[in-house]
Amino acid sequence: MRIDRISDLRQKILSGVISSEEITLEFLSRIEKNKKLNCFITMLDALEQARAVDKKIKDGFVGRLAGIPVAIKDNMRYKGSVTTCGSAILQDALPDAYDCEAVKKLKAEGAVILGKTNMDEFAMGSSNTSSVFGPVLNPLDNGRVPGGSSGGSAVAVSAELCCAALGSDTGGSIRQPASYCGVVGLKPTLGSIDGNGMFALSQDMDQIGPLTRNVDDCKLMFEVLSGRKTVDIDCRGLKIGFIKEFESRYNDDTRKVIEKAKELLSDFGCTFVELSAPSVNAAFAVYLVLGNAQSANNLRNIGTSEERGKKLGDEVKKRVIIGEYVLSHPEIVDKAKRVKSGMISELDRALNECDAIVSPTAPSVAFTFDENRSKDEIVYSDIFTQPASIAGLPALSVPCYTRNDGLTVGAQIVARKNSESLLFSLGRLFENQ
Amino acid sequence: MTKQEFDIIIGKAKIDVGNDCDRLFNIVNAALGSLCILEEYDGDAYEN
Repeated sequence: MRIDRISDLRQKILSGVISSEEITLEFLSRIEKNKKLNCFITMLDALEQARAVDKKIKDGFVGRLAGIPVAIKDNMRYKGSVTTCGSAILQDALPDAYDCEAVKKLKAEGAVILGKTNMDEFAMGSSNTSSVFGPVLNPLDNGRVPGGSSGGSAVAVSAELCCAALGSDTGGSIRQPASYCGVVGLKPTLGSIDGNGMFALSQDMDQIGPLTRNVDDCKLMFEVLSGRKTVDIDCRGLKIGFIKEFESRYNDDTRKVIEKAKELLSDFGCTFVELSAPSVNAAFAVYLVLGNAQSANNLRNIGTSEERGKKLGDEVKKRVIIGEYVLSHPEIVDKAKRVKSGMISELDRALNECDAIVSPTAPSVAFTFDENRSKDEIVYSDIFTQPASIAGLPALSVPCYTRNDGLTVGAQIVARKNSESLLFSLGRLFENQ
Repeated sequence: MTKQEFDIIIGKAKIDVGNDCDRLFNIVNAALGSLCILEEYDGDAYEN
């Protein structure tokens, strides 16, 4: 069965062509058949939810997600389930006593939550290889990572195992897996979607957002989650900026993204401007200091020293230790804050010179599980996504370039705060290429 | 970070590293080494 746009599927459910229970059963069957992808950690009471929605629909309910099966990342609370964050240290935690705010919003509009998706341990990573539940496989090439930390959500959407999924993005954790798996991913403006009930990594950058198969579904999910209405914007003649400091990180694949973006945007009469924001080269260091200072603090009360030594993975231990180190050296935190403030000023200035900034989402296609990546590749792996996280700006990744072997790189569109309408309107142009 | 400071920090981080101390020390120090890039950017200049 081909999976429709959410609005079309909803219409079929509301008009009785198919029930939510039937479509939920279809997705559960697909999930079972695709178990090797390992993208779900916990399955929820989806059939029960679907039957309840079907009953409500018969009574006149017309929620914007009526009967639509979706997934959530396993760092978001769902009443009665254990939120593991992909970590051994939380595997035996007590079930959640309440739903997180994002889940409440989805349920209020009639969504059916199929399950909770796999992720890098405590959302610390960009390959989805550090979960205690094992690595997630990229559906485009099972020998490659799906990206992370919201890799399970990106894979569930890409493999058509749900209509949409929630991820969380602190430095690129929605956008980078979206790029690797060929789907759409939005990191909304910081604070536009209520994060209460999500396990915090770094609250100054954490943002819940949707992963979907197309821009219209992304727009709908954002509207439901944020409570905001977006509008269609005429993109003809817009001025699009490209940051020159990113260019040294381009390779053949990412250069193709820029070429394709310029080609299709010029068809709509857009003009281009080269921008400078030198501090983006220090984004990883700002992230390392400020992000990990908050992460260390957030994880401080989880487990005994012995449990933490035994059950936390290397990446988490590394980040917690770095966090404690920089907290003991306030001069490092102060310096990182000053560079952050400079980066925000540079990006503000850049966005005053154009309507939106376009770049590749990731510096490469998805890498293989056994790839020996250079230190530089690791350090700069999130260079295109971290600046928008640090500045709290909205950023959308849309599929842009597909290689002959089927692997993808997304284009990232960044705009001023609360400009999601512009992101969706520009994002649609990429879909129509 | 010196080994001595690392021992203090892992105490604050509440991580019993057991026999894994040297390996973690090297991983953390390698990451901290990349922070020197912050010195290339002058925060004061941005405030004006």
